[in-house]
Order: sequence, then C-alpha cells, then structure tokens
Amino acid sequence: MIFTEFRFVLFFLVVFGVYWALRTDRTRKLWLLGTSYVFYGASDWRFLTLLAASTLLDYVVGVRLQGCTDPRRRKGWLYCSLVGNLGMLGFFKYFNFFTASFVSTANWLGLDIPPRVFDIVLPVGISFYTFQTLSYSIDVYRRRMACERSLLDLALFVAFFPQLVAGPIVRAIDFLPQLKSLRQLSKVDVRGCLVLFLIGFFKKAVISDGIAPFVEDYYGHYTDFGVASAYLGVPLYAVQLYCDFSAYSDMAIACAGLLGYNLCANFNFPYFAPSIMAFWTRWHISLSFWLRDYLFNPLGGWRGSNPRVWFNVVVTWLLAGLWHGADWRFVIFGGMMGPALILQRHWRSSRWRRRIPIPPLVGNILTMWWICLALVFFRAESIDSALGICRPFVLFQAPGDPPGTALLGDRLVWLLVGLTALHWVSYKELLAGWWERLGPWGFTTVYATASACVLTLVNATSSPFIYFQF
Amino acid sequence: MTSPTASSEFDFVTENGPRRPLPALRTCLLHALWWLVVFFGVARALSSVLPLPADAWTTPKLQLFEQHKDEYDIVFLGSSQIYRHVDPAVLDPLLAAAGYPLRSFNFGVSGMDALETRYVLEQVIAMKPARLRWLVTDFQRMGILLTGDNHRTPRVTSWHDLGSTLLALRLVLESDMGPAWEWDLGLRHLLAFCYRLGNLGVLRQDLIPLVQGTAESRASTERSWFMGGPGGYGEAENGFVSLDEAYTTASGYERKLLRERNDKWKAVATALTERVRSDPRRPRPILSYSGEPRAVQELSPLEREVILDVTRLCRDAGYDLVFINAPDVRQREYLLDEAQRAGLLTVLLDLDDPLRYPELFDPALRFDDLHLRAKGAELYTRLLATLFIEHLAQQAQAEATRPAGAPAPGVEPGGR
Repeated sequence: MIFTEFRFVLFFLVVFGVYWALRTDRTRKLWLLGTSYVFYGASDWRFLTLLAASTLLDYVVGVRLQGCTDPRRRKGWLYCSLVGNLGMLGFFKYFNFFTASFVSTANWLGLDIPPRVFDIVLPVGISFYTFQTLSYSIDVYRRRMACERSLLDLALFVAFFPQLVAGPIVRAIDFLPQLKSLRQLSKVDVRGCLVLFLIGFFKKAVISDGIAPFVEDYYGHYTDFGVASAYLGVPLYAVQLYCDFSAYSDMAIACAGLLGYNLCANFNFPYFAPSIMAFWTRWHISLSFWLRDYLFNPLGGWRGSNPRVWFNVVVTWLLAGLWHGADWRFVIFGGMMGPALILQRHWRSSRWRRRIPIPPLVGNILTMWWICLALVFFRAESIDSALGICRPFVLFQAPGDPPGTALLGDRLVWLLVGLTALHWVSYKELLAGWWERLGPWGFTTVYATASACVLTLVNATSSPFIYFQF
Repeated sequence: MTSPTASSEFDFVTENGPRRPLPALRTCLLHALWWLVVFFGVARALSSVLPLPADAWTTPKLQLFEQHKDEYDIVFLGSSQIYRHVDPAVLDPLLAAAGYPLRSFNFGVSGMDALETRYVLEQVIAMKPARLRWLVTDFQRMGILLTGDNHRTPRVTSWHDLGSTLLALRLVLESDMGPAWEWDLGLRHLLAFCYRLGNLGVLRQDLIPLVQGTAESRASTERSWFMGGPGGYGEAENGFVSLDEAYTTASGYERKLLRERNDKWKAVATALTERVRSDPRRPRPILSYSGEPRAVQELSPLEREVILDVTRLCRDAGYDLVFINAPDVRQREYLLDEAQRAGLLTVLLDLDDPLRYPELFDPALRFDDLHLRAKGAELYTRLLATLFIEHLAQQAQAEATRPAGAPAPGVEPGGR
C-alpha cells in the first residue's frame, strides 16, 4: 500500500476514525497494532512472521538485559539481538550478494565454483525496522533507557505503520514514552499534519513521479545523450530521490501526527548544505544519527590517530552504502562519502582554510556536485553504466560511439531552476504557517481547492517509493 | 531522555502545551462535507476547461477524427481486429468502383472492448459528423475485467463517465465471478470513475511536452511496438496500421516473443484448415474465451440491453450500425455470436467462417489467433468490401421499394 494511493487514503480514514472513537489507551494501541499488521501484510503477509519474530526477540532480550547485572551475560543477550536481527537482515537482503561475490572472487582465483542464486524475496522495510529494534536493544544494554515491559507497546513501536516500511528510523527512546499516555486529539495540530501530508503528496506524486520518465530516459539511454544532458539527467535524479524519500517521511510524520504521535524529522533541506558533513546532518537524518551513535562512535569516532579515524569513517560509510542495497554500486556510493568527509575534516583544521576562504555558495555547489556524482552509482543499472554516466559529468566527454548528442529536454533546465526557487522559498520559510491565519472554513475551502488542483498534476499510475527497495 | 534526532520542527503533538478547543463531531462532519463539495466543485470547474485524460491510443485518433470529421461516410470502430484489418486505402477505391464513392476511417484501437467502444461511439456521435452514415463495429467482449493497475491508466479512466461506470458495475454484479472478484472489480471501476471525476493527471500530460521543449519526445511516451508510428493512425492518416508495419518498430526481444507467438498460432491455423478440409462442417462454437470447450451461452439480459441501447443510440442519431465478425482461428464464441443467435443484430458481416472464407485462415497470412498480417488484412478488406457492397445494395433496394412516407427500416430488432 503506497501513501499516494487512493486505497491508502481510505485505509487511513478508517484507522483515524476508529482510533479516535476508541476510548481506552489499550484498545487504541491494539487497533493501531492490528491495522499496522494489515498494512504490512498487504504487501506480503508471509513477512508478518519476521516482524513478529523480531519484536519477540527484542522483547525477551530487553527484559533479560534489564534484570541482568553480569556484564558477560548482558553482552551475550545483546549479541542475541544483534545476531538475530542482523541475521534476518543478512539472509534476506545480503545472502545472494555475498554468495555471488564469493563465487566470483573464487572463480577469479581459479577455483571452479558454480554460481548459485536463491530466489529470496526482500521483505519490505526490513532494513528500517531492524535498525529500530537494534537501537532499542543497544539502548537498554547501555542503560540509556529501561526495558519495555509491555509487549503491546514494543510491538507497536516496531510495527507502527506510518514509519514501518521507509522510516524515519524512530528510536525507542523517543517513541515508547509517547505510548505511555492517552493521546488527545485536542493536542494535535491537525492542520499542520494535513498540510504536511499534501506537501508530501505533491512532492512524490507530482514532482518525483513527474521527473521519473526523464531520469529513466537518461539512465536507460545515456550513450545517446551529450554532456549538457548529463548535467540535466544526473541532478534530476537527485531531485527525484529527494522528493520521493522526503515525501515519504513527510507523509509518515503527518499520519503519525494525526494519530497523536511525533516522529523525528528526517530531512532538513539537504541540498542547501554547504558541506558533505552538513549534508549528512540534513539528509536521512535518522539513519545518519543512527550510524553515528551505534557504529561510528563505538568504533572510536573522531578520536584517536588519523589512520584510526580514517578507518572509522570509511568503515561506517561503506556499511551505510551497503545498508541501502546489496550491490557493489551502493558500496561505492557509501565509499565516496568517507574520503570526502575525511578531506573536509582535514581542510577545516588546516591553515589553508583561512588563506582560501570558500564562500558557502561554492561549498554548496561542490557538495551538490559530489552528491550527484555519488548518486549516479545509486541509480545506474550497473557499475559499467555508472562509469559511463560519470564520464560526461566529470570529464565533459560525451559517452557512446559515436558520441551522443541528444538533448534530454531543452526546457528541463528551467524546471530545475523553478524547483530550486520553490525549495528556496520553503527553506527561507517565506510561506510557512500561512494556513494558520485562515479561519476553519477558509482552511477547509483552500485545502479542498488545493487537493483538487494537485490531483490534476499527478501521475495516474503512481510508482512505489524508491526507498521501499531498501 | 531523547535521542539527538528528536526534533521540534515536526512536533504536531504538543504533550504539555495548551489543549485546542476540539470542534464537535457535527462540525467535523460538516467540514468533511464542505471539503467534498468544494473538491468536486473545483474538479468540475477544472474539467470544463481542461481536456479529458489523454492516452496514447484512443485520444490521438479521436483528435484526428475531430479535425476531419466531416470528410467520412463510414467509421470502423472497435478492437485490434478492426484496427489491424480494415484498410481504408483498399476499401474506399473498391466501394467507389462499385458505384459508392464513400470515404472511411479506421477507429480501431487495440483492446477496445464493447464498453469502451460504446463510450467512443458516443463521442463520435456527439461530434455530429456531417457525412457520416455507417458505423461499423465489432463488439467482442463487454470489457469489465480490469487487472493490475489498468484502472489507473488514462485510457481506462477516460471512458469511465457516469453512464459507462454504472453499466460496468451492473455487469460486474450480474456476472458469476464470485463476491471477492465482483468486489475487487467493482472497486476498480469506481476508482476509475473517481479518477476521472477528480481530473487525475489531466494537466500532467501537457506539462511533460512543455518542459521537454523541442527535444525528441521520449519521456512522455507510453507507446509500445504495436502503436506503429506516432498517434497510431498510420502514415495515410486513415487510422489503419498493419501488424507488419507495427512489427518494424518492435525491439529485438519483442520480435523474439512475437515470432514465438506467430509460430504457435500458425500451427493452430494449420490444424483448423486441415480439419475444415476433412470435415466440411463449421467447427463452432467449440471453445470459450480461455480456450476451454464450453456449452453455447446465451446473452444475459444486461448484455442484450447494451446491444439494443447502442443500436438505438445510432438509429436516433441517424446512423446505420453494422456489426462485423473477424476471423478467429480458435473459433471462439463472442458477444456478437450470442447476439446474432438472439436475433439482436440488424446487420452482421460475418467473416469468421472458415468454410466460406478459408483464405482468411491460411497460416501464411496469420499473425496470431485473432490477427492477420498485412497481406491478410488486404484480403480481409477486399472480402469486407464485397459484403459491404452487398449490404449497400440491399439497403438501396429496400429504400427503393419502401412506399413513400413509410418509416425507414430499423425497427428495434430482436427485443425480449
């Protein structure tokens, strides 16, 4: 079920109506848990068992960790959670990848091992809810929070449908306390949620799905196109991905808000970031901070000798790349972030920084260029085609033989300018909160009119969110 | 204690903040109602200035026909068995040679079933083409099956006006597919109707060419190999594109699949031809839509109603409705066969007869079970011209022998 589908709107209206009609906290949570399982089961009911197994595992681990004082046993329980959760993720997401990589390496070394690929279906959202449950176990282990005694609450934390399949990756420490009090509709900013949902819908159904055919055209036939098209096609994918993923987060946050729960922000105008480091504090925030708190800092973070720090950064980002998908393209994508962050770190502390001041705009352009380049590996069908697409983008040489000359669209540049301007207006909060000044009937009228107008621009056949595949 | 990711930017729930006054349930319902009124009011206003959802198949033909609507005497309307078989460039000279200087247009579109045909027929009639006299159509199936994401495509959305949707819903309820299927299908038709009502994506179709500018139109395309050129109405702009011509635009993989398909149906056509040679009886009805043997079916009351309704629609607008049955190597029963048995059809030009027209079942001319290749289409058009000329002669004779002042023939045929 996709947020932009009509059937999701119907589903949510039923969930919303019944939820607020129920009087007790427990019945409401049971209702939310049931509907969350229905939501998840709509894609493939078989994977409900995985969701339930992951919940049960972390429930038991959490309770055991709380009651145990022996450090070795506590560590053992933590490993149970890590092995169980990462084992499921590893099997469903990475088994074929690692097997294929092993076989090709063995063949390269001269060993004759026949390739074997198993037909494993990737459960939707497994990367997201695995990280959520892991954060719970680790936080209980670190005694940053008490274990959750209510299985219902923990199950709802894991399966809460607005953020189940594509984040934000909510921490138990933020969400579980919200489950301890009866939610009140009178404390919900319904207008804000409705506006955010419509904005998310617009970003996904109009902008992202609208741009998708051009991106598909470019990435599918890049050898036909010239250098100018590379500077349209590659940034367009960056726009498509942002509008797609941030739209999902917007709609998830709005839906959760309408049900009385706050989710963390996941995006904060990343394309206006003046540096790579700033970019990762604005893009997929919940993942970046998760990696920082549960991987990078435990490895040592920025402390220690230069080689140790480099190791920490590179390993973290290689794994971040791998988290996105079981393919070497994603590893390269992550691998491109590590050196950039290290370089930036050293630049900051170097004396050259004072001698050659870089204006924020230049920093922003350089950051965007690097991000766009990395995203080529994220989007391309293979590493070969990614390298082919990078050629015009880096060396200004048209790919193909003879070199391609086609233009992706001569007015697409104006589309990019227009979208940037729209984004800037939003960044500067020039139109923020205008709906709060409207009266109740005025708001309903404007919202209905806006909804009717937005529908004329949507792609009738809505495509799944890009991050569903992760 | 909270995590660093907890943000106040999207805190839509204020835990310790002031409670907002909650409107009464009645007020909430009134707001929901007002939202619906405004939404559909705006949608209605927009639909009066915006075009209908355009698809790559029907819309270009409708637009081309509208430009030249007063030039045609005959319109062939229906599925790919019209689209791929009736060549006006062959037909018109034959009619002219027989003393009927008429001009025809092929409004066949791949996969156009009866419900869509009925809708397009209404559009054609609403244009009031000055010279149009004959509407020729193949009503194969009712076309209530909407699978996958079909109900969201501009093509399906476009024909889901209130009348067609209600009709589709009635047909779904009348079918014996079981409650689950009926519910699913009914919902899909309703959704398609809602999408049309909400002008889903009608402006988007104009935006893509706008941002694309003069660059080669590739992104907006939803065409595939069988479109056979821009617009799908052929180089002669008479609506006909043979399958051979369309085949040239297919990709390597598509060609491979098509070759396999072609081989399979050539074998079936060969078997049919041999069977007809050895046993000179018409081998039908032998198979159902799915290819399984089945008993002879009767038209349902609703299907009967649809056929009568379409006949009445044409007659009221002053056009003659002629039905046409194209050759099918599987010799399956379709709607028209049932309607013919029920005596509902005024005129049926039946070319689906391997005894009378064995040449149309010649494996060398077949593309697949339902379609002929370019040479087969030419032959088909010639045979059709012969039948049509006979029909015109009979019509002229009937008019000549009709007493002055008597009403024109076309009394509601069949009836219950």
